[in-house]
Amino acid sequence: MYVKKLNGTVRFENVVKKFGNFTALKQMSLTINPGELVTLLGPSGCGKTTTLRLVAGLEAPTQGKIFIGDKEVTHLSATHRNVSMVFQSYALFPHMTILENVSYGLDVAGVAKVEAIEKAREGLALVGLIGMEKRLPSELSGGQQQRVAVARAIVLEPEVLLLDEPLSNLDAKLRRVVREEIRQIQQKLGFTALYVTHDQEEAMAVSDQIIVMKDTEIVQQGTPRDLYDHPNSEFIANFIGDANVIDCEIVKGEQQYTSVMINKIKLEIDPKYKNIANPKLVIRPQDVALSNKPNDKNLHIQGVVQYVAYLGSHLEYSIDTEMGEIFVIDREMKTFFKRSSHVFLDFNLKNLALVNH
Amino acid sequence: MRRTGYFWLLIGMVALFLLPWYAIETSFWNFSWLFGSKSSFQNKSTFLHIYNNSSVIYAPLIAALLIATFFTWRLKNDVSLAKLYVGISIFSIGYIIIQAFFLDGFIHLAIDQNSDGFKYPLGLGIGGFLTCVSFLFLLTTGVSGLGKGRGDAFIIGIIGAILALVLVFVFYPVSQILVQAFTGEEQRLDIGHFFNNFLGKDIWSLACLTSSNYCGVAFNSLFLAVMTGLGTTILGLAFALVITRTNFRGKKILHILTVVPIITPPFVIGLALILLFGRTGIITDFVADTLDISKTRWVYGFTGVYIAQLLSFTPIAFLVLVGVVEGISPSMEEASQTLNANAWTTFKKVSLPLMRPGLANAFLIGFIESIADFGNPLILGGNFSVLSTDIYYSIIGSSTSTSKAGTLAIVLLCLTLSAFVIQRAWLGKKSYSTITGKGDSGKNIELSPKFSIACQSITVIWATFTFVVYSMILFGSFVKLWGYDNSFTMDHYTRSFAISFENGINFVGVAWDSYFTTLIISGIAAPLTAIVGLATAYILVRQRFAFKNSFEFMTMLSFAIPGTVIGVSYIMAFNTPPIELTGTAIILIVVFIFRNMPVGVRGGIAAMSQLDKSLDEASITLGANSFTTVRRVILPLLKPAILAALVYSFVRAITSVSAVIFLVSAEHNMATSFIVGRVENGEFGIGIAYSTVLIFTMLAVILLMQLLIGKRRLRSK
Repeated sequence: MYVKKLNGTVRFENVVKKFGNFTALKQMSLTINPGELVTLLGPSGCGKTTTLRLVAGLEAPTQGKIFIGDKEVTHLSATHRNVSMVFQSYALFPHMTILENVSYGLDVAGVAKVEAIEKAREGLALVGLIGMEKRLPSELSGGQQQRVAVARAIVLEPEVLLLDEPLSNLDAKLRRVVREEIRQIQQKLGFTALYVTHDQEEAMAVSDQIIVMKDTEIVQQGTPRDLYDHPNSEFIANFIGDANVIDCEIVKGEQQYTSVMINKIKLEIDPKYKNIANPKLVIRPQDVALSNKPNDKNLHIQGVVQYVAYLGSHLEYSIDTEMGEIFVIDREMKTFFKRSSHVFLDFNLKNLALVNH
Repeated sequence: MRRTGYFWLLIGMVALFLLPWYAIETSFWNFSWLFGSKSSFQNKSTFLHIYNNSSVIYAPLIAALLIATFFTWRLKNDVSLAKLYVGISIFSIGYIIIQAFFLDGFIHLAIDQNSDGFKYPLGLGIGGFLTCVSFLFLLTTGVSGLGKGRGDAFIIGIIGAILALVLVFVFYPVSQILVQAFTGEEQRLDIGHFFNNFLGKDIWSLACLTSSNYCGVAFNSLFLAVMTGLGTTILGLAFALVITRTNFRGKKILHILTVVPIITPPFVIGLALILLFGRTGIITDFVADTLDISKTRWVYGFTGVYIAQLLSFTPIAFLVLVGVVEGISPSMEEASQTLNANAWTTFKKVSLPLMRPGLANAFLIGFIESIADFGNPLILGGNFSVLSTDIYYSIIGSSTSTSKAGTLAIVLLCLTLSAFVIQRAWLGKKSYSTITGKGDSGKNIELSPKFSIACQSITVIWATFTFVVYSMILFGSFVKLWGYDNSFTMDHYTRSFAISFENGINFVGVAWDSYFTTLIISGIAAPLTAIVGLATAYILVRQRFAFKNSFEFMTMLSFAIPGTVIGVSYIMAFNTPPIELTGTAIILIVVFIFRNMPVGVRGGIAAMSQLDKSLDEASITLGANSFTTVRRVILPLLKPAILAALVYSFVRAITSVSAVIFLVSAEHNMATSFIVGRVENGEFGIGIAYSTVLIFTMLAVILLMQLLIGKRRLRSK
């Protein structure tokens, strides 16, 4: 399939969206680089879908400006924007065949019939649905319908492709297959994509950049790795992956490392966290090792196993310690600690992070 | 926006300059209004007026159009242009209204003092009408240009058009009733006169409670309507329960019997009752012979009207309630049973309260249908007078009084509107949602045995009775003179529908004229009703705008206005300029559209709510505009709703009497008013034969529509 290397940036300048008295988006500014797949991630009601609909032109901003490519589109209707959207419900037209669905956008744009069908077929080939052209949406499985929705959107060669929770109606296994497909098509064709989801694992898997939103605002933007390793808040730490977030204090005066105190226990971590005002310690569950005797370092953190679960690939523990309850994931599974057994905890110090409370 | 602007400005120019502003008296197609400079004042286009230097009334409008065109060409800023459009259109429409109602006669007399002897003001014609339309859409284009409604000119245009139509064809006529009611003997405002009429004994007397005198018409109507509302609701509920909750055998027959009355002209049941229970009715004869008692006229009066209304309106209540009964979530009833309630308690304490909105709805419909019913009281009423027939007699009868008709219409309107308000208040803000969104399996419980038997017996009795009534209609049409000469004859059919083949085909039967008129007018009105109704539904379901609730109320209002009131208001409003429509076919079409629109709206809303909004949005983000979206996505998916709206409005147009009877003319007579005329002359045979033909015609047309529209294909078999 021929693809123009035309891919747009998306830029918001101080965009505010209100529905009557209800604020759906507090002052938002963002830039999405051409050719990237960017995910809007956040719990329901955080404003991520509203953001997507603003880009699509299905909603008009109350204040601020929106740019796609170099053009301001703030007051341009959805019909005239060069973006297309994959809906959560797929929104396939139930009375049209698969081919009619996919060629619909080309058709209303005035593309000649033969050419429209040609392109629609290419689109279907891309998502692996050749041979299904004559069927109705109701005759396809969920995953197939999903692919039709993607094909229908990309045959228009949009500057930006918008995906609104595209996988939420699929079962867990299929979700993984389809998300890989979407990512591959996006990388192959090189269009800009804006992807909305509330599933952090999904976001981590497909994105170049993730924008995490909460309470109608952006909390942090970065690559999946950035967000996981360097969360800027307790919310991000908890939301991106699992984390133990613990109150602590910084001990002043150290140079080589940041020294933190938790209930008389002292830990020495990366010096870059020195200037955090209200620190909280983030311990990822896989950065804790358990053993039945203290290691040779002079750090002795003891605990009692409250709960243990065997999940095949790993063990999950909940340990009661002086620092509070610590959630631990053990992938090596050398030893199995029963409930109520005494254990010693050891932290992978270089991976610990501090966030601002 | 500029392209749309140019388009409407062009239409405006053509309408204003080239078309005749006033309703012309000569034929439209000889174009003398454009070329015949000798034509009289009324029959000329503006172009000719300017050519003859005879009129300045158009100057402001010409100026408005030219200014708007100039700035569309020169002004670069879209927002300023939009503001200009809004300003100029409001000015022009305002000017046209003021000119039509107040200035017209005045200015013309000043200018054309010696030209001719026409009476002014004159009725608006095609030119004036189209000019208004173009300014209306220029206004909506301007409004959308200001960024309202996400800048969608198509949507704002529809809203504007519907609003204008409702104002002109619902609010304006109804306001004319008020004007007439307050107009005294000498054509001027007379409040005392109104209150004399309004509080009169003939309306509000309660004499029937204490003596053998008759009560006032208002109480007659009210009592009848409450009784009918209650009766139809109870019967409808019984049928709905029998159909959904029992193993009753004759369900199919029952279904047919409940549909047939809907395609029956309303007075036909009255006629059949006369054939059964009238002075010469078969049952009257039979009872009189066997029991040796004298024949009475007991069926004329309250009893007869009540039975006829029960038979006519129960099916509607049934159709409302069957959906409600089916909608009760089985899990709630199952929950009740697991808490050890028996079938009867469960029904009484759980199911019935959940049906409350449905019951209220069914009652309201029965109430309004009864209070608005005109045909049955006219035929069976005897000395029992109700508001709708009294209104008719004060317009048509020996002592014509429009102010009395206006007053009675107000009383009737107050009653129906109060019913509306009370229903809303009674339902309150409680939640009655019974469909939870989760897949709700399980089975509704069966009725308790005694209750089930009661329901089934009621159903069987009603069904038998309805069957007898319809057999009467069929038999009655083949009998020479009912009660006196019961020999078989085809006479009534041949007199009504004879075709002579001498010198080509000639439709010589007396009924043909009105039959064709009815079919044509209903055929034109039905699609227009469906369009207006569904467009309104689309706006209400899919668009957000400021005054949406009042907009919805306005469109539903005409449902609460009884047909007689609409009929009266239409003659009051459209008998005189500026909008002069009485005697034309247009007024009949218009009255059908606005009488039947609310049902199209309701049906449309129900159907549209089932379509996920993301379908529209998908189409729009794929680059289709709203018009294409409606045409290619929404309409195909709404086929069932379209069919329902078409069938309903067509059937209602054919069967309605109350509004039509005021508006027919010698040239455009409708079947129902023709039949009523025959029946009033005592020619029952023709009336019944004609009704039978109408029923079969409607059945045929419904089948035809079904074929034409086709099914929507969502699943292959």
